[in-house]
Amino acid sequence: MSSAQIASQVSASAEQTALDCRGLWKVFGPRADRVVADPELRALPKDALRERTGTVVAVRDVSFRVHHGEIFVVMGLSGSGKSTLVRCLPRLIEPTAGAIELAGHDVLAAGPAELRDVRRRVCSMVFQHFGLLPNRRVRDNVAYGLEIQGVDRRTRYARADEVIELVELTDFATAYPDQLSGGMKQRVGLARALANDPQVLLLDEPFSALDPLIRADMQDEVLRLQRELGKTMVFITHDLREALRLGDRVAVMRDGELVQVGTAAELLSSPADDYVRDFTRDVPRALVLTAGDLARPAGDGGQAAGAEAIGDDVLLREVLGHFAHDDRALRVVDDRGATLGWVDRATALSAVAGEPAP
Amino acid sequence: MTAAPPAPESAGSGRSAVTTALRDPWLVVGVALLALAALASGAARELPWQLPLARWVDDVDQWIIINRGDHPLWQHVLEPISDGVALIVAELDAWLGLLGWPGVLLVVGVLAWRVAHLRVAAVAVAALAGLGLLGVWDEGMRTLAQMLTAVGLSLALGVPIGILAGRRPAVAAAIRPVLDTMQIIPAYVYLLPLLVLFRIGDPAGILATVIYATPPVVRLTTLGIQRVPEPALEAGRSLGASGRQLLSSVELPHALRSIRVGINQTIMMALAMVVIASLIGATGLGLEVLRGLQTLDVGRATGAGIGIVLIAVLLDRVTWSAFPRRTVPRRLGPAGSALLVAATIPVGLALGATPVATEVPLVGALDLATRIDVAVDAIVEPLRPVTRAVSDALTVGVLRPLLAAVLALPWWVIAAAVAGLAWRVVSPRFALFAVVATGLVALLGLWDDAMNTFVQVAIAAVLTLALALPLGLAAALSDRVERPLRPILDTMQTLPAFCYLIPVVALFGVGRIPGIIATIVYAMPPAVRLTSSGIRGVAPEVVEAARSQGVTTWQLLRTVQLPLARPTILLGVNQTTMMVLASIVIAGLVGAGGLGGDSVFALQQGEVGLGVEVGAAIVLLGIVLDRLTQSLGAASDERTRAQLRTG
Ligand SMILES: Nc1ncnc2c1ncn2[C@@H]1O[C@H](COP(=O)(O)OP(=O)(O)OP(=O)(O)O)[C@@H](O)[C@H]1O
Ligand SMILES: [Mg+2]
Repeated sequence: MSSAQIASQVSASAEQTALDCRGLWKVFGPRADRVVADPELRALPKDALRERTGTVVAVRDVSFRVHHGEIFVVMGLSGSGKSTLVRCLPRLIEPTAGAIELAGHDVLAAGPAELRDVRRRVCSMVFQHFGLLPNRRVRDNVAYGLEIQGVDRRTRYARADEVIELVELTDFATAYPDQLSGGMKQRVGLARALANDPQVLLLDEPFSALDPLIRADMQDEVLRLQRELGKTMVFITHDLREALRLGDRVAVMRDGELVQVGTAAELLSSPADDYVRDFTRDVPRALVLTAGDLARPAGDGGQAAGAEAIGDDVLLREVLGHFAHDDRALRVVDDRGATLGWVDRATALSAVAGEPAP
Repeated sequence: MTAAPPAPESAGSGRSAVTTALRDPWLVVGVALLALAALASGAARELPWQLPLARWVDDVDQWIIINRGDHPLWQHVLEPISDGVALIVAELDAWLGLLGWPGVLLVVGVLAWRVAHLRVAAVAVAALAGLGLLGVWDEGMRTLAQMLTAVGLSLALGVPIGILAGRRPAVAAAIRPVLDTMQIIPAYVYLLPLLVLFRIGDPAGILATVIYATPPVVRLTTLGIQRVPEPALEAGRSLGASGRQLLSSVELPHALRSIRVGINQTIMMALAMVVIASLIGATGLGLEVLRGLQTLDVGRATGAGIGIVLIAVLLDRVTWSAFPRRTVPRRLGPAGSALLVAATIPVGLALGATPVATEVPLVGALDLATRIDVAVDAIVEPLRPVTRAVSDALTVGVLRPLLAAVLALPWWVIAAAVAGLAWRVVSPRFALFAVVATGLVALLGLWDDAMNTFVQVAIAAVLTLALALPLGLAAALSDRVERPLRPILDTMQTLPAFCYLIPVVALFGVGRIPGIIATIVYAMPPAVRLTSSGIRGVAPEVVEAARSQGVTTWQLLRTVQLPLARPTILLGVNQTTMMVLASIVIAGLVGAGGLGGDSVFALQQGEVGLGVEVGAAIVLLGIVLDRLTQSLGAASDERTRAQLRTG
């Protein structure tokens, strides 16, 4: 695809699309580009390819789009290529083939200066192992991105203090990283990413090193950031519950490929294959699915207009509570009161069992 | 070194400014200096009294000379040790002689093949053949016998001590300071006491080598044993292994890699001593190098020097490969191998008795020694104008003015400056030590020589770092620089200091400048390596985080890599300084003067008293330099943190 074509597409879709990734490949090893160019090698599975050429496919022909303000979660087992994928986006790892557009920048065509600019202003990363500078205080860590942009000390400290307050670390602004707990360190990592005021946040398993309670806190933090600041996020995790909790959409990755992209409900109710089904099997659906996910249009008119109304964000658990003493269908409404559809007892029960609706 | 006192920050109130000023040792020392200078402006620079250490030592020496014949210490301890060592060397030498060159090649080849593998055997045979072709076969065999004896004794001593220290923290704590001190003492200093105790000759040289070369194997054996993972020990104990079983089945196998490095370093240190030990009567290749250097016979020194390197390669390769990385099943077990080696000995002896064995073939035909002479002349002569210009520039432009400046100051001014620095970067207690140490050097009457050495060390250290740090930086940032550099540095680091003296003497003649230049070449590799590995060793996730923020290469270096690599780089500065000191002292062999020159003079003339004085001065200088350069890093680190805290 020529860059002119790309440019026209970008301007057309720039309104809603923050990140557009098309046909992305990353192959590690000697003469990696030959693998992508050769149709026969391209088709080989990972192990066979390694045997033949000594190369490892980490990302295979991945395409997806992320809208402004969306949290896009990528999940998959260890080694499925999540970290490689997310590092390819700001070219911390050089992709082997494909196209990436971040907020109107053609990342792969960018020269060193433009690439730096993308990293400084468009996207920021949060890492699993924090990557804090041990010789700097919290404030200087947070202000680091601004410092390397040449922002003067007073301005960058003012900005740093703002984001430090946002992640509730004001009392620790002058501490060194080794004086902080894991959760606090990751909040510093988050604050550092936010200090640049990027449009897109890339988070690579940011909470894997944290204990469950802190992790829940941090997830709330992420949701709050999305709500209050409207950030777009690509969030990597291998924890399905985290994925379903945070993701507007979730992509499931296996051996470098995206096997399914969809909302939580789509993944749970219609998994694309056994890999996805295995993934989702143990998820307590009653705690994940909401009435909105289950709502179906009125069928044979059996549902009375006077049926009890229920919010679309109500968890399936509560819906079940209703059916425990009343088997009449519920009317699902959005926050403005408009009817989205109905949920009946059979639908709710089969959703809990993880079977397709009757 | 004499940095200006930092200007006090704009003082809030008068009183606090005064108290801060009083707390600043620089200011205190400066004021004291001015007062002293005022008082002493008329006073003589010479000390009214000198410490007659030399006389006392000479008295002891006289006593020893008279009484050693019938004193029990010599009769029952020292003489037997000396005789034992002499006997081992003589026996080894005799056997090597009986084997002759064909026998030695055969036996060593088979031995190397059995303990290591065929490639190593080929290297060993080639190294031995090289000795023959260089025309230094007899001297080489003598040195080989000495080295086998010295290294054998070092290992017999060092490995058990290391195991003991590894298992008992109390022992480790007790020997640590001893090992630390031994590491900063230049080789010369060991020679004198041995000369006094054992008189001139091979045993004294070999025992000095043993003392000098043992610390690394102790250190690394200790380390290896200490680092055995607790779960492995626990597993062994849970199965009911006895202490000895635990040692042989768990601890030694785990520690083997570390011990192997230790043995290797011990061999290298022993070979570094070969030339120096010849100052107290050790014969062989070392003596040849010494004679060659001192008579400016570069061909002779080069031939013998290459011979020493060949022996180094031989011992190094064989011992290194003798430890299997993984046990490879072999057709011939250890017993079979031993039998095979034993069986080759009579064959070798028979070969040695043949008429061919008396003459090494090709030596006359090739005549490498003369060829080297010719080649050296061909290279050196055209370069003469360049080397002379460099030499003159360094002497006239740097060395002389600096030395003149240092010597123009009375000793106590320098003592006070050193004390101030010691106070600031180490501790008040060490400042006191520094004053006493400096005073002692002055009292010994060695002030001018010590300053001569000090100035040479300072120049060489600064030049070394000025060359090594940028090179290390380049190697860290670019694989294209790193890749060809690494094998060169590896090789350079294994060569003993005198190896650098030979070519430098060929190019620059004798004196202080060749000493400084050889020192720079000798001391550069570790500084380059530590700089490069420090920067490359910065945690990759931190580097990645910085890159994700869009840093330029320079910003990455300035804000992340250099600050985080600083401890390693400063360790390099410390190591470089100590290597520079050791090497500058050794350069006394080629007329560099100073304390090194005094040492050589004392050793060769048997001036025991002077030798002890000079040794003491070198050790004091070494301790002060070591502590100062070590703490410079720690102090500056503290300071930047403190600045950040207040800033
Ligand atoms: N630098 C590299 N060189 C060669 N292969 C690599 C490299 N980095 C990653 N890989 C390979 O790419 C594949 C994907 O690795 P990646 O780190 O992206 O997985 P991941 O999904 O992030 O796993 P995890 O959940 O364990 O972090 C793996 O098979 C890995 O072996
Ligand atoms: Mg990963």
